[in-house]
Amino acid sequence: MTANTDQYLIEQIKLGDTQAFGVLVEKYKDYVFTIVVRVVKVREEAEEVAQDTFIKAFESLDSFRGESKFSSWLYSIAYRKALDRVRKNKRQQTTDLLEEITESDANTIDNALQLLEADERKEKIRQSIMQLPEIDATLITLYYFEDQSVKEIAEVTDLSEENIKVRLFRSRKKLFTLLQGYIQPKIVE
Amino acid sequence: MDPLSKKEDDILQKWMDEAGLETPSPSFTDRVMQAVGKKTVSKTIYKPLIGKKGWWMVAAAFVLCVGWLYFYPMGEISYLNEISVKGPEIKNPFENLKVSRTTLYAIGFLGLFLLQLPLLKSLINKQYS
Repeated sequence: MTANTDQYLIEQIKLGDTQAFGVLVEKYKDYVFTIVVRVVKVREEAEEVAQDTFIKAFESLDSFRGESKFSSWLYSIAYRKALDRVRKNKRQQTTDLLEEITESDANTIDNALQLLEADERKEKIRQSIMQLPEIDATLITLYYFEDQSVKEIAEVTDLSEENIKVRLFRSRKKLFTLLQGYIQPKIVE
Repeated sequence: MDPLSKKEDDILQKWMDEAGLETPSPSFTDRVMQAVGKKTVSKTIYKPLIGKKGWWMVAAAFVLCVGWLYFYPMGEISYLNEISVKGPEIKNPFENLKVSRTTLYAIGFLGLFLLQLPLLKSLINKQYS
């Protein structure tokens, strides 16, 4: 299946085959949309931003030199566009909850989650991610869904690797705290 | 700061897998392709540093210089003699110093190395900034 590698498709698009771009959109739309929606937090707006991301990527495809992965390049456009949108709306969240979560807490939360129906569990996890501040949400998303290395995340977000490591640690703790908040009433019952 | 334990990390990974990806509306790809259809990949047009006109001017200047020298040779004038310093003779303190070839190479390479350092440093800084 060499015919469908990103690089091949990009060459085709540069040669004028616009339809080849459709394949890339199909391949990456969920990833891009996930990053954007977790930053922007509103689905309708996220859809617009994701669309803009692909259009922007198409227009500036010529400047993509293949030094990094196409996905990283695309995500960095998505991330910047999403942050721009948030700044424009000026509703940046500054939730700074950082309680100490221990390993046994993590287990308790996990056990509680297991008691829920799959759908409900999924929803709770999603809501918690949505509660995270923009940058934390992006870091967590990139780190877990794509198994991106810290180096790749640095390329996407333009943050230093050290900074990302520290932020990732805090973001994960935050996510635990948030989930604990969602689960707690359930435990008390 | 203690790192997240393996256990915690595994739990998070499980949760994130479960949360999965968000999906945009079904017409998403169509809308993107519609917008893209009206555009073309903007090509950066190659523009040479010295244009055609520039090269002609360089060639003309060269021919002019050679022609000038051909018609008005300046073989008799030695500029070096005229600009030589007419001051007190300074005696070279290292006149009798003999340096082996290897040492000269070593000094040469050291010089090159020191010259490269700031260049490389600025290059790398630019790449990672």
